[in-house]
Amino acid sequence: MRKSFISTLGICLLAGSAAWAQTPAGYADHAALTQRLQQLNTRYKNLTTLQSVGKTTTGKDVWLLSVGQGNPAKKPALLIVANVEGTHLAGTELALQTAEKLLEKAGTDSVGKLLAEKTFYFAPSVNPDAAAQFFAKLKYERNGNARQTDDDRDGLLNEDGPDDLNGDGLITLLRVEDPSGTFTKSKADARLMVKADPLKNEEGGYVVLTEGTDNDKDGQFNEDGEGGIQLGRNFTFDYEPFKPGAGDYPVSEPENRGLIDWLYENKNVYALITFGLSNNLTDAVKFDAGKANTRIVKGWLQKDVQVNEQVARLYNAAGLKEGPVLAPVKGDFPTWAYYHFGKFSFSTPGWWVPRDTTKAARALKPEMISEDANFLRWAKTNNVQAFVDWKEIASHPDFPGKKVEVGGFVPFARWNPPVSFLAPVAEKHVGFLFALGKRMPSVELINVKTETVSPGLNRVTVTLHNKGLLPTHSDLGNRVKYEDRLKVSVALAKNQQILSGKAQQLIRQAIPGNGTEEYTWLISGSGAVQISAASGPAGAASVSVNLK
Amino acid sequence: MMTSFMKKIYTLLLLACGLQVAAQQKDPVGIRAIGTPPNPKVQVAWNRYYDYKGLLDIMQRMVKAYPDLAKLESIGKSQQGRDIYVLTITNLKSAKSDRQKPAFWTDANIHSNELQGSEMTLYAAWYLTENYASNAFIRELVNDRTFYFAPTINPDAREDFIYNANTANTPRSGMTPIDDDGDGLVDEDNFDDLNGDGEITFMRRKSPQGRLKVNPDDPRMLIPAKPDEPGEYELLGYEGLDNDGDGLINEDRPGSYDPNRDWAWNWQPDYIQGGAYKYPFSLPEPRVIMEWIMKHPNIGGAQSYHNFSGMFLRGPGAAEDDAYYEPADVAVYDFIGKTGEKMIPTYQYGAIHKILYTVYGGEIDWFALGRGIFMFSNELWTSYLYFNKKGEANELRNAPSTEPYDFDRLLLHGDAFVDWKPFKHPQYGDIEIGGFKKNYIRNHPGFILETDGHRNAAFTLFHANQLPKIEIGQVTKKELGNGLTEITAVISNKRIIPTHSAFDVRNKINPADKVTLKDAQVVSGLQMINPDGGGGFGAGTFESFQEQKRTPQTLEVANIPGMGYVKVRWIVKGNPSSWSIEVDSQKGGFTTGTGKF
Repeated sequence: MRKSFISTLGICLLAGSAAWAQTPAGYADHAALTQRLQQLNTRYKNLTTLQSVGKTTTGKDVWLLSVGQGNPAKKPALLIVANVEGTHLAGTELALQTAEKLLEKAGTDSVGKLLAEKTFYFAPSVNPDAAAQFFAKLKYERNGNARQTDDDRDGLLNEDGPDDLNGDGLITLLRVEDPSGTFTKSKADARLMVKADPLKNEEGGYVVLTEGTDNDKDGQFNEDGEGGIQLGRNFTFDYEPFKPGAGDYPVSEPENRGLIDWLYENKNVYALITFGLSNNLTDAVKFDAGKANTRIVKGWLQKDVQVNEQVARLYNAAGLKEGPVLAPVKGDFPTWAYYHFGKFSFSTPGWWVPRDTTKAARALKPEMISEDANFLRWAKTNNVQAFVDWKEIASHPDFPGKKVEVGGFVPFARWNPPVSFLAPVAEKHVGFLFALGKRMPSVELINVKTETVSPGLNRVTVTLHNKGLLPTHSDLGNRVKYEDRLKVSVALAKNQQILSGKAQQLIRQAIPGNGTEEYTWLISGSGAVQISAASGPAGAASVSVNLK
Repeated sequence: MMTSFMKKIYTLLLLACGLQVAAQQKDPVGIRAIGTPPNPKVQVAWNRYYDYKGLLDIMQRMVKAYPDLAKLESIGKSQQGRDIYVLTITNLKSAKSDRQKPAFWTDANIHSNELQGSEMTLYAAWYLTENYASNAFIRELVNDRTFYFAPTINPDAREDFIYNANTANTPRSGMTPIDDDGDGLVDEDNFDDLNGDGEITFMRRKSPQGRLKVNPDDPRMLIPAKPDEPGEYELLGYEGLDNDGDGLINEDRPGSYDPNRDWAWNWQPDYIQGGAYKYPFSLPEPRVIMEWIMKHPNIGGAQSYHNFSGMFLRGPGAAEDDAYYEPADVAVYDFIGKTGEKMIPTYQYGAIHKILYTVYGGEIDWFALGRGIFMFSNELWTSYLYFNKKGEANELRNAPSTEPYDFDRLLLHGDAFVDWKPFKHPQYGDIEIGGFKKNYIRNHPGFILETDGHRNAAFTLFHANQLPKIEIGQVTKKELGNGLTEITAVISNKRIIPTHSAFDVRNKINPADKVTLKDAQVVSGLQMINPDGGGGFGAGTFESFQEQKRTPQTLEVANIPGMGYVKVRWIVKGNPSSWSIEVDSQKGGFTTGTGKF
């Protein structure tokens, strides 16, 4: 007993001294993620389902967990997606914890009611093969999946990856003292290397590269390592062909293909929230008529911008304030979900380095203000390993006779804090999802009026009301063929006939939050008539009227 | 003394002569129509259409008759599980495999109602095999190049077009079930063949409120009444019922997407590009083709047969991609396209978005820009062929024109038309049903099918003949002293298509051509970067070379231009008396050469 305790302690100590302890620990690798999801599914049998929407080339499942009561497909839903960018482990953890916390609260009246009416889908890790690099012996920030690719298009596969020159298990940077170098030390923090600007009379002096050697002697460093298709560059909107990691064509991978196929099948999804490195929840996108009003829409439509502003207000009100400005990347997932799938698509890194509000920080001169320096200060205050200090290495085969140092940010540290930082953030995201879920569209049929024009001839009028505070679908969704639109239908008995109005009609234009539309039918015959309105994302309602 | 082997040869020769004599006896030269293969082993009627089984039968007979020239393979399955076939035509007995030769891809019938492309691809394949023995040009083509023919890349909907009631324009799509009208039901309101003739024609109704009247010159035709004249008919659309009771007729038919909007270049969703599906290659048939093309990088030229309106289309489908068709590449298209205009009278050559309409996510842009393949889309059949004169009708809009009626009356004797007959329609009451048959307007009438098929096949062969033809020539040496020798070789391309399009070179779509000096101790490898005189245009510069630091034995050449050359140089140890050079070019083929100094 005692012996085993000591040996366990020994392993902990060993592990503690090993290099990987420098990266924020506590994240779940794919096996642990699978286990946590399966445990949730077992524990909350009646509230969850777990399915795989695709398998990576190494056989890892892309999991999708549904949270809610009853048949998840029969209720309007939100989809929370994370880790399309393989480096963003915090997104996976936030999605998982948000699901866990939502389920913990399922017993409360308010959350219970929401889970009865809506479905929350979670896809916590879309790119598990890339994320695996976080848990590998050699850690480097990797967004490419396990597909073998020729990133530099020289006919060779993965022939020039990074190399761990200082043997610390981390890929950081190289800096080489060289009079022709274009980098210099940052004024904000001398550890940081920044581009020198000759126009500002700044001198360079350093060449900065990722840690490694030019394995294939083509003059480029680490340009074709392991790590294949970057899923976050492999969606159809604004896709950039021939860019390293973009793939031979968009949606070429089983991970993103599986996710898109699932979305086309599950038409109850109303909106998507992506944890990743773009942000339209702190500040909404801006309306740009020049981009929005063209055949190929490249800017959010005006009405959708207003909804984005509305949802961003909910996000900020949930205590998620002062997030960073992060523009989308070409070919990424959140922009696909809006521009090509027509859904409201929101994205956020979820966690970010808080703004430094100390007096000293507020007094900084403009040239001293740097997001990276702010991150390093935060890391120091919070005792987080964030930087490998520059250290000279004995020699480098590509830079004989030159001073070469290895150092830089600890991989992943910038956007993935120790897991303990995430619990309070996940709690706030539960609040946000709750607020958003409550405002989702929901239809009801009200003001039902039956006027007997003459015996056996009745005029029936109803008001279709969206009692939610968000529109029934996006304005762009009006144009999308595959959007599941509201359908208003009248079920007639044999002896009944519609003389004016339609037995069934599709509502092409979205009904805004708290909006209404009125329908009238002139129906001959008598007896009960059932009127219903339904769509996947906006729910269903029906009323029965009696014709005299 | 004859050895037994020689005897055998001799006997064979005698036999061959005898056969030839026999053939000549059967078929005197004066009876043979020029341009048509003499005594074809595979008999095919080229004045009719074939269903899926019929196409397969022709291909199987070709393979059986010419096992050394033709092979057949299934490259994948359609949505309904039919095999998609590729027929390979090349000299299968030559030293190089089909993958080591520059290859030409031909497909057809991506739009299922556009039938004739399938018969015309098979005509081209048939023409190659049946002429191989007797025509030197064809023999060289089949020896040097590989032809891949995919006669139908949309077999499910081809069968639907042929066997089910359709108009000339349907299905066009494949058969993947899709909810076209967004009501949650799939393919629930198709056409209805009310008169049971296998055709979907028009419904018209006599009505004092109608604004149409019968054309006095051809009573089958409805024309607008004069502004001040009462009409007698109204048109009620294509034959059908409101099957799902939503107040609309025929609004959710099988398919109704466009497989030619499912390709990965400038793909746009359905609300921008009508007919697009979920994402590039989200439909099974284009995906099968894509995966096969990716595995056959030797394909350097391609054509896709469509109909109609008489055009040789190149990309781009959308104006914003014009810049990607660089002048050097456009010059190649211009030469081939303009020659095509001569080969098929009144056919017009041009870019899709300029002479047709804008297409995003079309097949030929993906071939050309995604893979660096020089590709045309051949829009077969034109109204010119009615009376061999430019008609007044707008080809694409089917504007009212009497030409199709006149042609049917005078040359087809009414075979193209279903005469108007009364019918009791459950919703419309007393109506008449009639109109042109589905195989008219877009698909060739039988007697023109072979003629146009031949002209079009000739255009395909002309294009295929322009694929790169690489030759190794003018290998010279010069002693440098210090025990070193400089060996210089000219590698030339004797055709107008380069080994890499300019767009390919810019984006490194395909790997560089590899030129290797074999069996030599190479210490340094160089490529000419500037020819004498700047390439013959008087730039007044001298030839200069640049060293390739990596793998000096194998020089990586970015491109061997059309009707051009590259010069490569090696510095080797010693003073070799002979040379052996290998050129491995994905689109230029595998070429070797040896010689003595």
